[in-house]
Amino acid sequence: MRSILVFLFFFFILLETTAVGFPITVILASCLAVTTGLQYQDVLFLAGILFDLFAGLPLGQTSLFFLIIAYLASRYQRKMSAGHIVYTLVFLTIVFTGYQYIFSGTVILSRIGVSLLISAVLLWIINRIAVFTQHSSSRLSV
Amino acid sequence: MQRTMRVSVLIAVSFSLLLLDRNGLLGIVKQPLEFVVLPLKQTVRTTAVALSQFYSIAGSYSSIAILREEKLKLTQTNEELVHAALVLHEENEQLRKQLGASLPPSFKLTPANVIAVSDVLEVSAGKKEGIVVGNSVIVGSTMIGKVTNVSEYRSQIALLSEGTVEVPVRTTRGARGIVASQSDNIVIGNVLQKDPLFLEDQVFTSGEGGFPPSLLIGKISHIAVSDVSVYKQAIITSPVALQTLKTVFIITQS
Repeated sequence: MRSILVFLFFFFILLETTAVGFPITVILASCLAVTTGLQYQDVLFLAGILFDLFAGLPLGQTSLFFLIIAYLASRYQRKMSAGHIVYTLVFLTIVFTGYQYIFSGTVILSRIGVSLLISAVLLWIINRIAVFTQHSSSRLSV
Repeated sequence: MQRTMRVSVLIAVSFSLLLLDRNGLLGIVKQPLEFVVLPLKQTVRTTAVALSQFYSIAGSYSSIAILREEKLKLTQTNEELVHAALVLHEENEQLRKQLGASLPPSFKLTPANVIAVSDVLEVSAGKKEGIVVGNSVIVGSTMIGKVTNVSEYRSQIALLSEGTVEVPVRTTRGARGIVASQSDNIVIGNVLQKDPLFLEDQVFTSGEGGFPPSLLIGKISHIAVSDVSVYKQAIITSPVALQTLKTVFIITQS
């Protein structure tokens, strides 16, 4: 799972900093944080550093943001994982709004809307992968 | 608990890195990394652009056939227009030349396209344009012949160098004579021995014999001297190159 995440982050960072003008990395990071809390904090840290390096931002800026998201998500993880989609949506909306405001100085509502839609898809995929890996690791062998 | 500790450490590391970078202390670390990041980004960018172009081409695949057809049509139209422009340019040049010629304003000139040059000159203008037999034909201010045959839409012109046209002329020194064709040359004859005839003298129509006056015939290029003959003769060279003529002007009213 970790290697898949590292690859995904690397791929998303490359795309976002070269061809796609949409914050896909922060969407992935937020979804990961919402789903797994602090489980992959090292991946988030590395992704943040890589993002700063590729985007030409001050080193540590994005990783700090990602880690704070992960920390906050872990604090409210029980509420979010209890099936209350509203909590997740509110959390993600705050994250995307904050990200836009901090990193670009503006808040574009349509972009937040699209980000939420992509997040919904990503959350579903991450959940499926998590279920699959859990299932395969707990399989009994004779 | 351990995770919270670890995240606190990572947050502290991130914060420290941010502070160091903000103060320009991470330049030594970042600079070598740039050499890896930049080519990688460049490659991804080039690929992304190529992909977007590919998608754009693939998306417009159905319209390629239409575009090709349109291109063919446009090429054809362009060729036709270029040809038309060339023809018009040549015609314009001829008209400019004609307008620049010092001809009397009473002359009514009818332009005609040359369609054949052999013993006679054939032009694509006839009775419809008001051309009648006997009209003088000029290029610029130089007379080249006389209309000898006219149909509804075309005319035949007897050339001074080829035909049987006889034109009364005078030279710049006042010598008078008759210009006619002789062995494919324009020759001035019937010039009295006492009249001066020199090389490079210009020869003009005298206005007699039904021809308009002061039309240039050419320059004397060779003088045939004979003490026994009554008249002097000289060969005239016309400034008009007949083989490359495309438009001539017919004086329909003088």
